[in-house]
Amino acid sequence: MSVDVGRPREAPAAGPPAGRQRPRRRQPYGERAGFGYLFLSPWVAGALLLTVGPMAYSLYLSFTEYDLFTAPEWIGLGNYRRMFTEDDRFLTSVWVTVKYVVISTPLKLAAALAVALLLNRASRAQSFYRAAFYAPSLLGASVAVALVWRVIFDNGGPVSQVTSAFGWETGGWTTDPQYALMAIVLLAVWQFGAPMVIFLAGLKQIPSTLYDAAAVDGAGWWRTFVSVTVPMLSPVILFNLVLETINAFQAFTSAFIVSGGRGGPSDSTLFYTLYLYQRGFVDFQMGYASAMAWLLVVAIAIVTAILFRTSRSWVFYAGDGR
Amino acid sequence: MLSTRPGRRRAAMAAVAALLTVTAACGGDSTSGGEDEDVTLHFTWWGNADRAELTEQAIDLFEEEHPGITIETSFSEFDAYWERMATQIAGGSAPDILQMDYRYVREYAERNVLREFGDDDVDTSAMAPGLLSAGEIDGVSYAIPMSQNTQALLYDPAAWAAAGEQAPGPDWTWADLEAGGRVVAEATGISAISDFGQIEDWFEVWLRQRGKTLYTDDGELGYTAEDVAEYWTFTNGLREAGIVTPADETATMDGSQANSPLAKQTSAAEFNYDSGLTAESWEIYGRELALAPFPSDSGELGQYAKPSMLICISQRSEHPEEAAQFIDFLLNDPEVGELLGTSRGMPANADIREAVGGALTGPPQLAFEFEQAVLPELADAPPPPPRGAGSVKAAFQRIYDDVIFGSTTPEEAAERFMSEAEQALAQ
Amino acid sequence: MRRLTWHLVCLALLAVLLYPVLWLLSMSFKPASEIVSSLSLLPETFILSNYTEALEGSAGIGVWRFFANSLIVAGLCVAGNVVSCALAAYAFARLRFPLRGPLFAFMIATLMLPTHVVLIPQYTIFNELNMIDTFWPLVLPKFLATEAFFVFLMVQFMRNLPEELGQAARIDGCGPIRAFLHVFLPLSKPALVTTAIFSFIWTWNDFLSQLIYLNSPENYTLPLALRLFVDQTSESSYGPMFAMSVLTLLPVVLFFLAFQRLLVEGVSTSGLGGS
Repeated sequence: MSVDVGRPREAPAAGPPAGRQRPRRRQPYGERAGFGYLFLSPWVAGALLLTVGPMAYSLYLSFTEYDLFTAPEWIGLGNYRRMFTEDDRFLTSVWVTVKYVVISTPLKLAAALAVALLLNRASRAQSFYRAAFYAPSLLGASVAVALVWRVIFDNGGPVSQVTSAFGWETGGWTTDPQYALMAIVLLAVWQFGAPMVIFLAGLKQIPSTLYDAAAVDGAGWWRTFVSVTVPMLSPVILFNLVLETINAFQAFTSAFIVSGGRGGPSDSTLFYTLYLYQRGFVDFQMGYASAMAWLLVVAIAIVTAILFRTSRSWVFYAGDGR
Repeated sequence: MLSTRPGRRRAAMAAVAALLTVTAACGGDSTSGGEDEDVTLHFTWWGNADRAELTEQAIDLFEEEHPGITIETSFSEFDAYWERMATQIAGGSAPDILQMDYRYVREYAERNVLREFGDDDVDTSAMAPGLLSAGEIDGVSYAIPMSQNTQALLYDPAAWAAAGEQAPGPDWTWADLEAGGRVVAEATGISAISDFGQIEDWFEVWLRQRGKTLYTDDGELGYTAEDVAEYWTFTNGLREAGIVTPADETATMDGSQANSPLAKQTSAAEFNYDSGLTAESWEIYGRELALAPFPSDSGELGQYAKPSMLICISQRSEHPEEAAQFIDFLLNDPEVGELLGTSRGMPANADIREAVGGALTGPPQLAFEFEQAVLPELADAPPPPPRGAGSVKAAFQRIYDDVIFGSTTPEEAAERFMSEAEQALAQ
Repeated sequence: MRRLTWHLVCLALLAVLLYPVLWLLSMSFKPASEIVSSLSLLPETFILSNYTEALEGSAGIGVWRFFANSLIVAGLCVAGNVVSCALAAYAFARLRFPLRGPLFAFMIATLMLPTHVVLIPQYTIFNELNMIDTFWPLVLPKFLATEAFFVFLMVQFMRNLPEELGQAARIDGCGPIRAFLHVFLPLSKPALVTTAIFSFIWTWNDFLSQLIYLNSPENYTLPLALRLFVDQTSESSYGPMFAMSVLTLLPVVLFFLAFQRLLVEGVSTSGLGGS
């Protein structure tokens, strides 16, 4: 996978300032290459010490049968083959996860952006509102939240009362294979605080002169939104889109606590990572779980690469001087 | 806008460098530990804060009597316990002493995690042989029961009395349960019983009443698809007749009290282990309940004394003798027995159980009396279930969900379950 | 008038969003039987004993110890993430060096692998380093910028700062280090504050790594203590669990309120607008 990181203009390509030019330059990156690694050194240390090894090891395990306590045994592509030929629950978990990603990511981002725009105005109440809108996300995914969620979506609980008032008899959501996934989607959307705060920070970064200029040009709300807000916010939109998509693919905690780790009823909330966890830690098949994990990496990498590739046409970086 | 001050740059470089040295520095300063004769044992277990309190007190008693031994504990909630345990053992730091669940004994023992108990390691003379067998594989003991419980029907006597129905009792048959349940459900407007078709444990009792077992001695399935189909046809029929809980209610059941229909007051009885009764049970269930044995058509009760938790020594422990000493103390010392009471369920040691049981009040007293009453009829515990049994149990529940939500018939579901179960056991 | 409409819209939305939080609060005042069986929001019997029970702590360790441990871990994680991720992000966003693209791609890839499969190898590393049952395994990774989320977040913000800033810094004779300290770091304040807030909240609520790495009850943090209330094999104490959840929430709320004010001052107020 190759990712475009952009072309910062501080690079010598733009011509280094006269005073700092040296007669002999051996490498194309100039004297600043060393600084790059200097700033990156904690990250490099972390990667070497904590990240690369475990990742490589799990990749190796994906080609083995490994029960956690005895030595792994090489079986080549056996795990990968089993996934597609013998394991119906694997396919179920793929389907559940894809549905979840496709539904929850846009809903959550839309909610986050809408509320961020709503709150992005000068008012003394703004910080109060921001905190209040963030409150659901402060809760994280705890056992307490799971119990509250079940009561709210229970048969005869608040949600089913509201829906039946509109003539839509749903019964209990978390216990019905038809609606259980939606209850978890709503839990994710409800906790839209993180992307909202990031959107707000992005909105704050937009120079007010741009809005003044738009106002002078007589642009309306929508026009300003499309030609000032969206382009200026686009790096942040890309960030939220990529991260929320990755998060959705890896959804685990909320499904785990709401379904008590089972992914029920009838496997309707059997998320990919939940199934992976069951295989690894309940059935002691860490080799198989690792194979599932790496397949997920490939899937997410493809989706992320597509997002980055398309981003070239719609993401605008002020610092890149395009 | 900016001025040049070289000093700042150097300071910043130093800061970056300092950050890096943190990595190097923090590796060395951990425990090196004096190599004198003191022995430190790590003991991990699952449970709640009350159990933690009492366990710490028991450990204090042990440390007083054995000045050279220090016990360090670590505990967590049941589900989390297993993930932590697996990670720690795989990651190279197994505890010396670990609390064990019946269903995992073989998984851990056959993977060389557990140490064999020698004959003289721990005194088990006060424990029933039929209970000890739950920790034995091919006659070798890998785990010793700490406490025991047995299967029971927990019911609301008021609801059954109000319906004018004879309360569940020792001579009950499954037909009585169906007939009585029908009356209760009609009279009370709630389900008479929580659906029991999804729990493999209750299916096991039903099987044993018919002379079969969950697993054969070779670790194969001890029943056929017909047995499963018959059981599910029976429970599914009860659901269709409105006697047991409806599908959405059943699907929430996960063994926790928060999701028990009996506690939610949407059913008037529930199969459970008698250890489910604790000091505050009536507050959680919102009323006083009673216990009855399982109904049976064959006169065979099918129930057995099951260890609700066991205790083991790790194969990697450097101090197995001291670990055995501690286990012996925990299981057999009368003072500790009194202190721990029923915080881990009914003690496995019969002497201590009787001493502790006599002093009980409230729901635990009821459980104790029930257990003493059925004790003569209880069979020996089967050996630990084979590897993969956990997946089989999960599949049993999951596939039954499909039956009650109407996406399949009991017969089809039974076939599918058998093939999944066989696959899980083969791996 | 528009102001009033705005307030009304905000409040209406909040009423829906905070409804479940209200449930959480009300459950903490309910007795056990009501928590399990009642579908009404308000407690029929209002009790405070859940809170007294929650504050008892466990295994002879006061609940304040758990609070203190959580605070230490979360505080260090905030410091670690802010410092190390800002450094890495500046390098990725504003400096040029060999392998920058592949390294960035690798960093994004670390986000994609489910944590469960690297748990055991990582545990092995910390076990080798003798760091089990200390806060190091929780804190050290943050000082080494392993949280790709935050690096990526700051990269996106730093890249979006006007190009003229870098040029101005160069013309003034600033090297990358001084440009970072005096130009980019101050202007990335919204991203830094965001990082601080999220680091705190996520560490505060994190369960898995604290479970794996902390053994001794003295080192336990709040999420671990919280879970003990719902052990399925012993008496479940739902009331105290809800009370404890509410108490656990207070520090995060305070932290959020304290830090979110800093979000307000962004580039827009600093008069450095672009063309």
